[in-house]
Amino acid sequence: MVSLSILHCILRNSLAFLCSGESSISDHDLDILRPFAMKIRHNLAASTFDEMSYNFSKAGMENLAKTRSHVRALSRFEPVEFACCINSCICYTGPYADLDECPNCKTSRLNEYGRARRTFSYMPLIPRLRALASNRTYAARLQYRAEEHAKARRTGTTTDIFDGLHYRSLLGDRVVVGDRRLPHNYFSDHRDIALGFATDGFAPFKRRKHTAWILLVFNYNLPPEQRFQKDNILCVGIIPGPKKPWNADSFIHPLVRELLELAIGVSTYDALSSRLFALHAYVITAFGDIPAVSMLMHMKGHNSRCPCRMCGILGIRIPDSRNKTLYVPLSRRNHPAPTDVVEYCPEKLPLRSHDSFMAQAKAVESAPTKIQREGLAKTYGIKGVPLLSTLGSLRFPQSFPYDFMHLIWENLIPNLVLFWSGRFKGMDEGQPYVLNPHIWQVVGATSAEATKTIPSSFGTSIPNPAKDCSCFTSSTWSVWSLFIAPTVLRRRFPEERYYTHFCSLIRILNLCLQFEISEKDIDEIESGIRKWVVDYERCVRPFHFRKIEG
Amino acid sequence: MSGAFAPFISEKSKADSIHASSLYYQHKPERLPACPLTIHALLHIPDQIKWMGPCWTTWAFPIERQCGYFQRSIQSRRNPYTSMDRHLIDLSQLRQIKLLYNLTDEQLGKPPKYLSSQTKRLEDCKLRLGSFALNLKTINCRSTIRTRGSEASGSP
Repeated sequence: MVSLSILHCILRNSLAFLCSGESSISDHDLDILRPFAMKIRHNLAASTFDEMSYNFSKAGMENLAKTRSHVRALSRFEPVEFACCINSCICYTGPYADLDECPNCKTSRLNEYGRARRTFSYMPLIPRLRALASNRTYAARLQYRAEEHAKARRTGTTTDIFDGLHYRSLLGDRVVVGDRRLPHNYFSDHRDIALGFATDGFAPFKRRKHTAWILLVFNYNLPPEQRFQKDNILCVGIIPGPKKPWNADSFIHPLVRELLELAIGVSTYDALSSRLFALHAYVITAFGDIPAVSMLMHMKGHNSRCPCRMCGILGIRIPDSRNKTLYVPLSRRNHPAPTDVVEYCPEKLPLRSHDSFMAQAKAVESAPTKIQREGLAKTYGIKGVPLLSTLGSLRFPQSFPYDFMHLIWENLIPNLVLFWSGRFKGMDEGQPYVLNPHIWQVVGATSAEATKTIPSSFGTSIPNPAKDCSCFTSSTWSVWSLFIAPTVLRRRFPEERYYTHFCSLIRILNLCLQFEISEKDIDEIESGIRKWVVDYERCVRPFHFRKIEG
Repeated sequence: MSGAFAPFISEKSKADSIHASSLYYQHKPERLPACPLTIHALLHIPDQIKWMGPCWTTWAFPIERQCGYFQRSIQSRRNPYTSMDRHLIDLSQLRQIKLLYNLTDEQLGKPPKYLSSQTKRLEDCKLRLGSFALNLKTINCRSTIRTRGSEASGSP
């Protein structure tokens, strides 16, 4: 019996040694890696690399093909190739794995040589997380969640995602995979990794016809200042274009499979204790812009009857107009055909909960006929059960927050500027918020001038917003709105209340952007933002306030 | 006027609001385009902070940066997606090697940062300032210790 346990011990240690990251690399390997690393850093073309290797062959530089095979062997890490539809409707995984043609566009899967017409390369997550845990430096950094943050945490202050209710409520929960209740709780081990999943569509070329979708995984266990560094963001794949995927779930199918495996536990070498352990990782949030998240959540999107993913507010059309867009004001009081609720109260929005969301999604999925299904989908704004709901660590819709960047600096601030400069959808004629064109020119010029005296560490330089807004990005809008606009717009509006209203928004934004948010701050943000939106829609009598504001 | 917004409206402004012009939407159905979903979504920000922590934990700046990065990696206009995939594979394999063999960027041929004479001077200044501040601190500490000590010795 004793000898058996000794044998077991020896076996385990040798296995740990084999799996450990303590392997050394020869100088010869490094000589081959250096030019390759340079190619990646500077994004050199393959032809450039080969030309360099031709010219520097005496220095021992290999050509790209040989270098790549060397790199592949050293990294012990390879992509998994899946066939996908030529129009990027679906990926042939999961329920589609055995199909020969795309169920949406009916194009064939293979070409005449029997090879996939287009492929989607999936970069597995597990080997990369394993490598992180078995690297001494990174293993220590991954302790941020359980060590540094947990020790520095004070109740009542929000400094990171780990102070959020979602993470805290997961802490006491059992991990459930499918119907199986596993013996461990979420984040019960200090080495458990918290992940965030994000996706976004982007146009590979400037003419925005094609879109590719990037699938990213963020590692929340790293300290905040390292988490979003380029080297620490894991890209699990790029969904090829030319179109938005018809079924995005088929592309994230391999990721979800790996995440389920990680919820159960994956045997990994721990560099800190030099032992094998079961590595767990859980996705606690998924985010991106509104269309991307709608796609992940199987929602009808921002232009449906029930457009909001957080609540059940109904959209409403402009009366007697050919414009089919639906809008979501709180009050529909003066609308000739208002919705059932005429006034939504900002304190009592009909919020969606996880259970109600899933019940509605299931109801849509189990509707007997296609027409009924579409009717239900329209009412709920949900098209079906999302694949991500198989992950117990995600809550619908709380784990899918609206993205602050798009909300504020891609939409809100540019729209306000359009209002002020009298260019908002042709409805600004004679409105009290429109600045005199000369004044707007001066405001623009002053903003551009101010850039010269603001140190670059505050942010990017600002072009003139009165001249050309198209070169404004979210970061330029953020710098302009937070640091410059409150000063240059002072006493510029025909009616002061528009300035006070704007300043109250900036105050809220500054509160939201603090590194430490206290409970008091959250209360202030809550009441401030409700008042701001209500004021945005309704009227505040100017003259009484003007005297008080001075 | 419904009572829904009561907390924000004084009796005075309630009466006024009937006549007053308003800010952007003005409760006029033809001005509905002023109220897209993005305005409504603002109302959910406080709840999101409670649920998921500060806004920066889940905002899209890092995503956009990655998109830009992969967009720039396209070498071929004919096969843009293969080109991006190739770059992604190369990049991931190189990072994996860095983790497995514990390599630094310097070992992989990235030259150390060249500091211009101006930056060097600045760094030098910072160093000196740092040591100066440290000295000040120790002097202060000493003086406090001394005063505490004198108090202690004086009190009995």
